[in-house]
Amino acid sequence: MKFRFSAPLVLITAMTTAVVAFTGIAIGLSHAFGVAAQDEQLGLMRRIVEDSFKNGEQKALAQAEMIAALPAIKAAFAAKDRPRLLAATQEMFRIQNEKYGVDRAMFQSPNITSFLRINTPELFGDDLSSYRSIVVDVNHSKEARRGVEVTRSGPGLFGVVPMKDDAGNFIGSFEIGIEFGRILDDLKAAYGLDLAIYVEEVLLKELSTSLGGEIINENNRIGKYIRFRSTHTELLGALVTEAEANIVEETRFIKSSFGKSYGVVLLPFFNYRGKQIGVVAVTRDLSAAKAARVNLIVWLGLAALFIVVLMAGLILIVVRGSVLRPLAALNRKLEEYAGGTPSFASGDFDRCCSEVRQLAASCQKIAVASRAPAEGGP
Amino acid sequence: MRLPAVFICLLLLCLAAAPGRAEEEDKAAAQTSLPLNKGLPVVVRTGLHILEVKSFDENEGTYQATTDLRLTWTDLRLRYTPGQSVDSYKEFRSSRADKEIAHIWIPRTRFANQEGEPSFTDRRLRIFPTGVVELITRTTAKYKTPIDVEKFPFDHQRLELDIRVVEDTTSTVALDYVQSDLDFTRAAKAMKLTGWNISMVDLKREIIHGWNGDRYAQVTAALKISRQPAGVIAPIFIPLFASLMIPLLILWMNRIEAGVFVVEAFELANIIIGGLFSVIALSFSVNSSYKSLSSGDNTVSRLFGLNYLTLAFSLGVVIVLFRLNLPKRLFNAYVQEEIFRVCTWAIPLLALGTAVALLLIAAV
Repeated sequence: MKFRFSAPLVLITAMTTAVVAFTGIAIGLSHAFGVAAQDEQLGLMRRIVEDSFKNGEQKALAQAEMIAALPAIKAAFAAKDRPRLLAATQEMFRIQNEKYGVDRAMFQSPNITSFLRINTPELFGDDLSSYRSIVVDVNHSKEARRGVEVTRSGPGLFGVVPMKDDAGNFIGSFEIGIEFGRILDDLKAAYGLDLAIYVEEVLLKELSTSLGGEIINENNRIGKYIRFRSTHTELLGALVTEAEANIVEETRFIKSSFGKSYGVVLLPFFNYRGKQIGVVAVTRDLSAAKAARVNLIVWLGLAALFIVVLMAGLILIVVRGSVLRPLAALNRKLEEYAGGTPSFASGDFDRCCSEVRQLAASCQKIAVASRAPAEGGP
Repeated sequence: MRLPAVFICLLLLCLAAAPGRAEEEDKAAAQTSLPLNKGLPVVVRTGLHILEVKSFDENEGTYQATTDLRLTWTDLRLRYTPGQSVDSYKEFRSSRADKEIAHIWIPRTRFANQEGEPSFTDRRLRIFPTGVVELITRTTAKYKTPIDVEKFPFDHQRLELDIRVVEDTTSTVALDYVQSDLDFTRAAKAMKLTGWNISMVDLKREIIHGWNGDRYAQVTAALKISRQPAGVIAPIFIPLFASLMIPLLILWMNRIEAGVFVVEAFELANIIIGGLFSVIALSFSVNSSYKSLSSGDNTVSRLFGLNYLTLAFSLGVVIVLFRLNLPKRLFNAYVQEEIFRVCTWAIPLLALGTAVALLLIAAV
């Protein structure tokens, strides 16, 4: 192999390998940081939803505690005076419903039957023991409880408190239920998240008898689930398919839809008893973060290309232009001299580096010395 | 004697009728005043269905659209017993709706980014027994929308409609939306816009600041669309990449024989000048067809920048290498020859690499 080719090749290969390796490491690190930041973002989305649901339950419980403690309400409930109880609570419920998303409020008798639904006063006296675990527990333990339950009008966040009359006798329980729709809307407004709640269709058909065809229909059906609430039906429909919705533990993924990249977190949706009754989907547009990561990779790649090309060019110019090509020219001159050319001039190499100049000068001396005995020999 | 009697009678009649008219006026005024019976602010739910979008002019940042704006609020003064209507609501259409609207309170909203007067308007009013009022207004009008072409030709645009409450601040009238409004807010499935892919409609609540700290409610509905890039590759990007080749010609057309450049420097400089004019002409042509690209930072302006940079670099090569032979004077002929050889592949590689990188950045 000729040194003319092998020397630059070795140097350029070594330099390219080093640059590519460093660029690869930089891209790998930035990708790892980006993925970690993205994972943190997805984790934050999960915490926001969990905290929001928890706050909703606490809000329901706090409101139930306050209402249950009002003397007029306690007295009416203790007296089993349904019209008086309704008159005392109806206006309060209307305001709570309009302003704070409270959509269910119910007094329950100690035998786990409904005494008064403020939202639907005409419906009372039905047995709740088969599907309202939280009411059963509160009436047995006489302690306040909170959690998710599926009722006649669908799933909601409930706070249930025991009620006692002025003498301290247990007279039943009272609950406040908050709808998910308002909570999801608020999360969308505050954090730019899009959310959907999917609930098992069997459960909705069995328990949520007041739900109409506007909820339980083909458009909202995803496998065994029904999309109960969604802040962006079109988007969530594209992001969460039937196969993806079938989860039993938290699942995170990135999916492209409508030309954007979305981070999706799927959380199992548990009821008060801890049984999974559906899935909560949370999504956010992460296109900007993805674009920033890809931009960084492209710019790093371009910078690497510039370094490799410029360094390779420099190696070729220095190795070939300053050393190898002058040596080749010197070699040609020596060959010409050996072939009979009368003179050898080293002046052609005056602008070359000193080593080449010295070599050319030495060659010239040898040529002069070898010519002298031939001219004036014995 | 009879005339004064008639006059007195008329006067008495007028006096008797005046209180009745005043009562009616008061009642009418009361009906059209802000519905306070559910407290303040009056929450007006907003939904927007986009039926058609046409004549989207990205140069002017305008488009024409036909939309159904649905406003829903509660006015308890309009409650009635369900038996009063055949359906579960009272419905008024077109002129009857206008007539009815004159007697009730409706939120004073307008499309803040509307240009000129609408070419078509129709209204439908529904009043439910509970006092819920639903007003749907179909409008065909021209709207202004911000254009962001940074990622051209892989850009996404938002055709915005700013629904703003006028006169009433957020403490009296607030715009909001809930699940059913979000479901109503969408683009018609059959809608098409030449050169663009239709995506989804998004709603966003906003606050507009007025005088003395006043705040006005606004909901912005935005139809997201994405450009079909194939349509602009031929008229813009092929000429741009072709013009990028012009300055590279001066490297590929010259050669060295016995340490001397064969082609004269001025001939190659002429190519550069020709290339400069062609890039200027292309720039003029593109900017006149796509005005939005002429200002700001975008893929096309970056590629034009790269074209000018490559032309400048090539001109530098012509002067430094071909005309002045500076490397030969400073070093030797061998170094100059190697510099020339390196330039023949390094400059095209870097120019094309940069161009591809700029396109990749736009594509993600």
